Amino acid sequence: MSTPLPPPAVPVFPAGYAPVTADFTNLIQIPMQFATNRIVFRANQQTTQSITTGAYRIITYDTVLEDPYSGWNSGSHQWLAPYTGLYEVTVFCSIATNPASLQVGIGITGTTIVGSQPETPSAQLGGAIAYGLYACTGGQDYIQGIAQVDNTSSTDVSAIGRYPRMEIVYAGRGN
Amino acid sequence: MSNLPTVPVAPDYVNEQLILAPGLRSSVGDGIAFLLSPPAFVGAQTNTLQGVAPSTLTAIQWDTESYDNYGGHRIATSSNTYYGMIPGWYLCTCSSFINSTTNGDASSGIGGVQSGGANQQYMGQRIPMGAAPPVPGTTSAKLMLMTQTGTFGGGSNDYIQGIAWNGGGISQSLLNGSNQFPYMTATWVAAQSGTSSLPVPVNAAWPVPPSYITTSFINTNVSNAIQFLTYPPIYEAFYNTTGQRLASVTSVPSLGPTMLLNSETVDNYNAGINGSWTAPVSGLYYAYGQIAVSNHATSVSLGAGLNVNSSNYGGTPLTLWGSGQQATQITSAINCAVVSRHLRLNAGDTLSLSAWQNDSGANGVNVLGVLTNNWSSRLIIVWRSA
Repeated sequence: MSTPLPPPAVPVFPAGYAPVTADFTNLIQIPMQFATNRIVFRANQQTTQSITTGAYRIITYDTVLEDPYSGWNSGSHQWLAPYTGLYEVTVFCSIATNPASLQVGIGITGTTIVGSQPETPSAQLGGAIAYGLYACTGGQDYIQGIAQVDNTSSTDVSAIGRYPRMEIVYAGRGN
Repeated sequence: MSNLPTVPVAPDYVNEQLILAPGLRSSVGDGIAFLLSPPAFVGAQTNTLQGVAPSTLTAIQWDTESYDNYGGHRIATSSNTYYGMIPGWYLCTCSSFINSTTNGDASSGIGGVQSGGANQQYMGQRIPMGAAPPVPGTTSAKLMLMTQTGTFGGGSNDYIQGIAWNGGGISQSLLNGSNQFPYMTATWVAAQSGTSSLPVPVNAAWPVPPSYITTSFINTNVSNAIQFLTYPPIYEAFYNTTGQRLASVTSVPSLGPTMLLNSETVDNYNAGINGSWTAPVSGLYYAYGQIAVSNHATSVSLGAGLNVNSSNYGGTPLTLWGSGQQATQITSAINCAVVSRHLRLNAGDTLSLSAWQNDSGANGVNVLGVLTNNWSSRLIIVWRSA
């Protein structure tokens, strides 16, 4: 798929109509292409970030792996949903230092929903995950990875397997 | 909900077949409508402050519906249950938070009835819990098959529930905070059955006259495409016996051990053997893993990971780690760590469940998985996009 497609309308096939190639393209090929190649986004963080204690902090992903719909804003560290729909999100964050607690969540247009919170993460592998399914309005709602600690810590980027990361895939129309 | 599309059935086209508009509407039109808006449920508990009795697997009441396009849930009746309206495999997740005032442990999971069977609970992440803040938040995932569907509240209708566990010795409430609250999702991801081992659709350009539409072309780009998208690769394996041990390791390795998962819930592309799975086709896959163990008094930490061998992840086998948590330092206490992410894989790439644990006495732990134990080790993989 060379050009990212918008979610297609449900194709309507009129009776008594002689379709030409363009009709098959619009009514079959393009909708099937979108159903096969969903809107996706993947990013990780490879430079450690200081997570200051207290409030929910935005995870600053610095490496975008996949963003065919160009939704990522590297300044605000948020991915703008290009079209209205239901989005499936996974977030992981690992902390190199040892806070007494770690929350990892998903931010939807400024509201954080925490996925998990190990009360005391492991000193050697202090990580937590979040998963969610969110209805987003295209061009309006944005998605972020979120972490919160109870004493200032740094994210763990010591190995590929520990990079904080976020993945998003379109899951449906959401209406 | 009778006007909503159902699982599409792709026709097999034959030579000289007259293709009529009604046929295209039902196969392609309704197929696209279903595939781009499959049954899904997103629920939360934001104001009930439900009490959870100690050591009791408790179905969570969902007082808030964020999404329910096929009407499988009603707040007023059976608020803790999502009834299947369309048959198929559902990817289900649940997170919960115990507003803890005692020491103990906490967990969340997925329960329900599949294919008319018994009500069972499949628990996920299980972590230590303290008397003082912060509260423990746990998460879990499970593939559930619903085949007896379509009758909300029907006695024989399959259903899904989110489950909370409070191992604190006294009844405690679920936290309904602004940012921390119980949350459940259920998403249709595949039909109950279908044609497997199909390639990812290429959705080729339609022929331009004088070229013409051949049987092969339309079957490949309509029939097979719908069949693949309706029944993509899905996989769930779990550990269903005893004897597997997880050794204590001081430092978290870049490549952890591969865990044996000797039973399969589903493997429609025959891609897995004992928990080692090979991607049958390229794509973006959702993967979830959990490792459940029985602790010692000297247990320190537990982590879960995914072993991946893919050029998209360094080209050499490594572990993508997930949650890392402290262990409950009580003999025979159960802990369960989890990992989940979406992975970009090529056909032939491999995935398996991995784990790490550290014990101050260098003791190994037993990996849990006997089916009668609500906490068992498992791996889930679902194709989500090309």
